[in-house]
Amino acid sequence: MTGAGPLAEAIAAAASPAVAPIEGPAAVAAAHAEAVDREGRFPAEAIAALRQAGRLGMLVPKALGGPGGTLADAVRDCFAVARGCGSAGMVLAMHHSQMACLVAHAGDAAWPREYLARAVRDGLLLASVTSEEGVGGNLRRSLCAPEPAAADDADQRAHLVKRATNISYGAHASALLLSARRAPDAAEADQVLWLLGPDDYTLERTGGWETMGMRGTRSEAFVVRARAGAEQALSTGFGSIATETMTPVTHILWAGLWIGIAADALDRARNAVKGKLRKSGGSAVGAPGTPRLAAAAEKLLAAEALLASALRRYGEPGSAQSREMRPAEVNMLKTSVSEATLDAVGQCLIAAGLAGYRVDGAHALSRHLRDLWSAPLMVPNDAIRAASATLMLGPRPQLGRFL
Amino acid sequence: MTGIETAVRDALASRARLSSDAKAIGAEDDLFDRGLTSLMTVDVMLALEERFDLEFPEEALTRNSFRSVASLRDLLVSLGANA
Repeated sequence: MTGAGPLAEAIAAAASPAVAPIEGPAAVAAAHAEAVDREGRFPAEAIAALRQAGRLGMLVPKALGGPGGTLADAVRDCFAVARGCGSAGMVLAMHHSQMACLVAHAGDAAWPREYLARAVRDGLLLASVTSEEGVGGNLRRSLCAPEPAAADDADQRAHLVKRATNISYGAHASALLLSARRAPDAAEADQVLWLLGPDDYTLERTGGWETMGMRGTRSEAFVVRARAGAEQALSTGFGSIATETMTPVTHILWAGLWIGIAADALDRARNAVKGKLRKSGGSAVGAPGTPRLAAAAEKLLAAEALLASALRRYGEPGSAQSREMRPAEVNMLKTSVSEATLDAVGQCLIAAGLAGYRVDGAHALSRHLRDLWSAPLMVPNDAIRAASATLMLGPRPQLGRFL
Repeated sequence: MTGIETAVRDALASRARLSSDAKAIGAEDDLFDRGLTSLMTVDVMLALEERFDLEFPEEALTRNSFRSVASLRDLLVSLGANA
């Protein structure tokens, strides 16, 4: 193939997605976005539409009855859904990142493979339980550990009790992926992931979710009480899963949904500027607000290019290539896109003026801004940048790879 | 245990905060499952480069190089380290 580099291939691949577009569920998400935000409730309609359309099982391989979608397919869905409703996009992204961990690390173990097949059939929503009281927000520490059942207990499965500070959409999920120490005498960093099915656990709500934005993710605090057999613990240690799959896939999917939120904000701001101009009969040349629209678009195009290159570097969850993606590059995708999208929506607000500042009407940008303020905060950018700084003395950034 | 392996364990003990004793860990045990992070690998690399007066080549800076005591030992041997 002459003259067609990786970039040309990427463009060709983007032009012909293997999976059909997602218009239906995205429209449902948009229709209910305002109510979800106002009432701070789970985006039930959007998730039901995604379930109905078979989109929740996107990453499950064909061998297990799924569509065998790529990570890029999942990113496109998160983008499209978030363009209508940021909370729904975030729920979808977090679900896909958990599913990616299962797909990449289930190996040939029967339990997780059966779960994946069932998840496709029944449209099960999978939530993450990595947060815990007392670990200082460190993903790589757990206090929770399996306790063996009493000798006279008819149910010989282990007990797990975890006090989670946040389980996004915990009350609405069908299953949980929960991190815990490998055994009661294991160190805090010696963790495994437990896959808990619908009948394996109960939740006791211990804290609410009254936030500025992303109000529909319902990331409340719960005590999880579970019974699980040894076969429900993934054989790959959580340290590898977190670095090779959970963190990079999460940041890639988040970038997609953040760009989706900002894309809708740009649409709204363009409409506001255009509407004003038509009324005034003025020319588009030098029209007020247009430089701000251009500034927003410039940031978003750069963010999207960064995401596209991250997708190409990472490949598919579980692949040999994915295990070697530089952690600094994953970090930089996150810090850069979270701030670029937030900045872009700020530019959109200035362009739209009062029409954007109002909290009602077709040009309102309040929800977009509030939702996107979660981006630099969830996993704080300052902490990520400190890690990136240290990593600058490790492997060098791979510049020139796509040129 | 070779001198190189001992040096690897020393570097892990002093520069990485592992969940188990670096001196007692199995040579093939997965260090990432024992608390090693990408950030710690940078300091482990710096310590070993200084100890053996060599430089890890760019292509050796992969997760697999740091996965176990044995993989680090083998890497150092291939780089011509002398204990």
